[in-house]
Amino acid sequence: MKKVKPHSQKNQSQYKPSLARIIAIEVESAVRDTRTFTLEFLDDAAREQFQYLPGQFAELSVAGAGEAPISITSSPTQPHPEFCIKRMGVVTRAIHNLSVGDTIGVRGPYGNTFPLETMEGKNIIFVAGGIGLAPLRSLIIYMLDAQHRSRYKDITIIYGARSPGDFLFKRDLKQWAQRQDVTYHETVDKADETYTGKEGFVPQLLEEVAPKSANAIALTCGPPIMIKFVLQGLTKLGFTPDQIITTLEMRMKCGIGKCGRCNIGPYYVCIDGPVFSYRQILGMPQEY
Amino acid sequence: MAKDSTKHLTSKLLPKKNLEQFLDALLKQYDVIAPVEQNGFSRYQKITRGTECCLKYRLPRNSIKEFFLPQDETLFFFEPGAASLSDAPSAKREPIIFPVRPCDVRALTILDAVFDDEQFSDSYYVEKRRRMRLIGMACLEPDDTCFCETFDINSTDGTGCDLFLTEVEDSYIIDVLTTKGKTLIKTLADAPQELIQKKKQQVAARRKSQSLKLAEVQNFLKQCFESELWEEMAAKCLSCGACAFLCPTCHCFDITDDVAGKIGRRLRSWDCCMFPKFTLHASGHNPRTKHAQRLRQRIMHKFSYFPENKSLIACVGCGRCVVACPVNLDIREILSTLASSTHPASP
Amino acid sequence: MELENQIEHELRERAQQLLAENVVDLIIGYGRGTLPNRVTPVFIRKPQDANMLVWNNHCQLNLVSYLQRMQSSSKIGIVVKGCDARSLVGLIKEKQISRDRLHIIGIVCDGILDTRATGEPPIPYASCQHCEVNVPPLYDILIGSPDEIKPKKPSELDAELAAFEALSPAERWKALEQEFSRCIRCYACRNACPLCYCEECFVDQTQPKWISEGTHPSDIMIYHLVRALHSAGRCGECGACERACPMGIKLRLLTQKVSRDVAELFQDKPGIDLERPPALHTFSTDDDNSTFL
Ligand SMILES: Cc1cc2nc3c(=O)[nH]c(=O)nc-3n(C[C@H](O)[C@H](O)[C@H](O)COP(=O)(O)OP(=O)(O)OC[C@H]3O[C@@H](n4cnc5c(N)ncnc54)[C@H](O)[C@@H]3O)c2cc1C
Ligand code: SF4
Ligand code: SF4
Ligand code: SF4
Ligand code: SF4
Ligand code: SF4
Ligand code: FES
Repeated sequence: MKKVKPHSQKNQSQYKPSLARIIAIEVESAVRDTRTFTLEFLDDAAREQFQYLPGQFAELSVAGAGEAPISITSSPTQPHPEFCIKRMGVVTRAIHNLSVGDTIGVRGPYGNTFPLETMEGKNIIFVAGGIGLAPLRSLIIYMLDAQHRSRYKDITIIYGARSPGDFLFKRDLKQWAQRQDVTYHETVDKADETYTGKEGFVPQLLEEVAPKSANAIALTCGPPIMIKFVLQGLTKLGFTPDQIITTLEMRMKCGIGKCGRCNIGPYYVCIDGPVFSYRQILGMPQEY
Repeated sequence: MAKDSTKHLTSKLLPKKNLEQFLDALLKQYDVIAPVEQNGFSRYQKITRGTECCLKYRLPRNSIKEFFLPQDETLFFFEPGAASLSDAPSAKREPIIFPVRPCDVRALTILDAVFDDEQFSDSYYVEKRRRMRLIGMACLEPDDTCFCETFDINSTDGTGCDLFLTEVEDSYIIDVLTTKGKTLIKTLADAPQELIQKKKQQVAARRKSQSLKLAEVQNFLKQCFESELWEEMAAKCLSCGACAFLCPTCHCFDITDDVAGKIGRRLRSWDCCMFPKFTLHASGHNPRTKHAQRLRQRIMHKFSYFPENKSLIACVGCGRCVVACPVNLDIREILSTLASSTHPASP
Repeated sequence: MELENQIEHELRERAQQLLAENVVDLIIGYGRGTLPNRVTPVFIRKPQDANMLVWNNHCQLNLVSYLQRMQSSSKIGIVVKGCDARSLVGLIKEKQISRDRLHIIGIVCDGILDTRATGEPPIPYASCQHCEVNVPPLYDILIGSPDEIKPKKPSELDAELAAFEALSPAERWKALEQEFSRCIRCYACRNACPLCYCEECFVDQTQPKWISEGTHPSDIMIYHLVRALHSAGRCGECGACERACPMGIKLRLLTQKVSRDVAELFQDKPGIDLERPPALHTFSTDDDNSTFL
């Protein structure tokens, strides 16, 4: 996976966030307490500095509550960075309590990126579950952008959620479903009256869609249990561990390889990840 | 770090009886950190008078890391709700640590590799490191718990210090190793040749600290990840932070917000991989719930993962964890147990 | 030394028997340490390993703190000193461990040497110098002979605690602040204490958050004061917390002080009587209410 050379920040505090204003909040899922926040940096230098690529994350903070690592869900082809955040604990709750116009601290971008160059000229299969779509969305939007679309071949998206109310980014899903150059499939674990689509788990849907492994790369993000079965499914379909890309989540603090928290084997998920190939993961201690 | 390579300018003489006076003179201009007698051990802390310095014990219980990576460090201040951040004021006087043992000096190179790496340099650490002056002291008689030799540390070598003292009879011979060090000993006389000769003899005859047979520690540890010995060895571990907090090379930390009334600060504080909450996710998932997994992380990080990344073993054999562990879970024993489990034939 | 050897010898014999006859499937005891004045906990499952057990005047740990971890063993033999047995009684009363799962190997103890004191000859820990439970209050087998122990003067305060009690409240606060300024928040004290068994200690809670992660004196003090209050009326004065502390902090000033206060107020010594309910779990109209003011 590509290591990103950070901008030289030698004499600057690595821990002091830049400040950004929230310019939009989208409630993605009321059931899962998930919202997307669109940010705009307060000063130009900070905006300039925040040059990111799909796969990276940032440390978001609310003064008084603390910091949390959150994937950048927008694509650099979009004008403003976006973060899709599920309410979990202290920091994420504090972020959810903010309104449009409030300020928020941002450190980053951190971490590596999806292997953009290796994926060129290949068929791309996305397999996402729940909030796992957040990091993948960045890449999907990036690839579908007119500037980049020709670099990648067929794009297939398989997305599942627990219930119809759990689908995130509904506006994007609709667009993807309509596009001619995207094959879009979705499923829910459990349907309700309003829902007419497929019912079943993501790994089952994957088996049905059965994407070809030749000249393809599959990217998967989602709950650990889903990942486990998706990996099995992909392997059955002939994908080698090098053709499968996923992201790892470890508890994080610094985001810059110092605090030791995200260490797993010789890797630091915050600088060597969060994007890893299945091959790399197979070589790691099973401690994630 | 320590790019200053002024090679061995001169050797100076400091009679032991003048030590307090020497420290008092330094105190006029610098903050002096020295061992202070406690309840059966000594502890590095800021002193106000030379007489407070206690050299009865070889290694103070705490390490010098807290003067580079404090247990409690303000990264910046903020007013909750207000959109501005302000820096914490930095100390005015430049600090000196006296005396620093060679193991602790080596530990700083390990911390340098973490905090001053090319990808991200940590300005808080780097700044403290730049300001610090180190007055080292040779170990001619290591303690029972010393095992610096295992990691090829020469306990009579002052590399990395500004000044380096070696005890000879009732004096210290001071080697001046940097220009920064030179400014500290302006008033001292040159050491007489005979004492310098004597020092050389003593150094040659020094008693070495014990060394463990750890041929290719990294390699045998690789085979040990799944070993059942972890469970066995960790059965008595209390999962406290004594070993890591006193270790001169352990550097894991937490970042949290600390608000008192109208003023808040982002706080960096020590943390360690032995605490169960270290890896706990907000979802409740925890990759290392067992004592054995955490002990394994501590050992593997120091002796396998860290060397793999930085080509340095993250232990200097100071033995602080050996002394401090309340249940005598001895890191030397852990390593030799693992080593012999992978080479059952060797003695 | 003679006496110690006898105890050690008998201990090994009895332990071997207990394991061989399947009376217990695990014995938690002391084994040889890696330093001259240290012992280390050992977990023995085979009769032939019983000779790993040692007994000497460095057996400073309270092994009771390991009991709750040993879920897989159905019957556990545990080596306890008198003070350790007090915390064991406490745990049984608080229903943390069932009496039926235990085979208590009580040892008559004449005091543990203070490894911190540098003088010669070595002296016992302050808490041992005034120990009133040389013979464990609860055991299945007892090793050692009570007659060999020189009687202590229990009513007498040890000098350190007496000096502390003599201070004014303001001076006491200052003394505590001074003592705790060395605390590095490693939590060895809490983790070594058999009675600190909370699933989540209040210092680790984040919702709500009680204290900050730093080393501000007030945060450290809150930790120690709350711990002392949580163990009031329960602490068996074994001193395990103080001996675990790598910074040599006299935790006893708080824990033992609070224990003594409880003993005076409620005429109760925790961990002595298995039948009597813990003092602070009961309320009687005769209770002395002077501390509420
Ligand atoms: C690389 C990466 C990308 C992520 N992307 C997203 C995202 O796009 N959207 C989203 O909703 N969540 C994401 N998470 C998870 C998110 O970071 C946690 O849910 C969040 O940190 C919980 O913080 P809290 O303060 O609300 O919870 P608390 O339980 O109060 O956590 C306290 C502290 O622990 C740490 N922490 C707890 N859980 C985690 C965790 N799972 N991962 C890392 N640190 C943790 C944080 O530092 C946090 O401040 C991501 C995590 C990682 C590592
Ligand atoms: S470990 Fe080595 S350098 Fe350190 S104090 Fe002991 S002898 Fe000296
Ligand atoms: S692990 Fe122990 S011996 Fe090694 S440097 Fe740390 S404290 Fe010293
Ligand atoms: S991971 Fe553990 S052993 Fe390594 S530096 Fe951090 S606390 Fe120390
Ligand atoms: S090894 Fe010892 S000092 Fe370290 S966590 Fe375990 S009990 Fe505490
Ligand atoms: S053991 Fe000592 S240093 Fe550690 S938390 Fe307790 S009092 Fe503080
Ligand atoms: S988050 Fe601190 S090292 Fe990775």
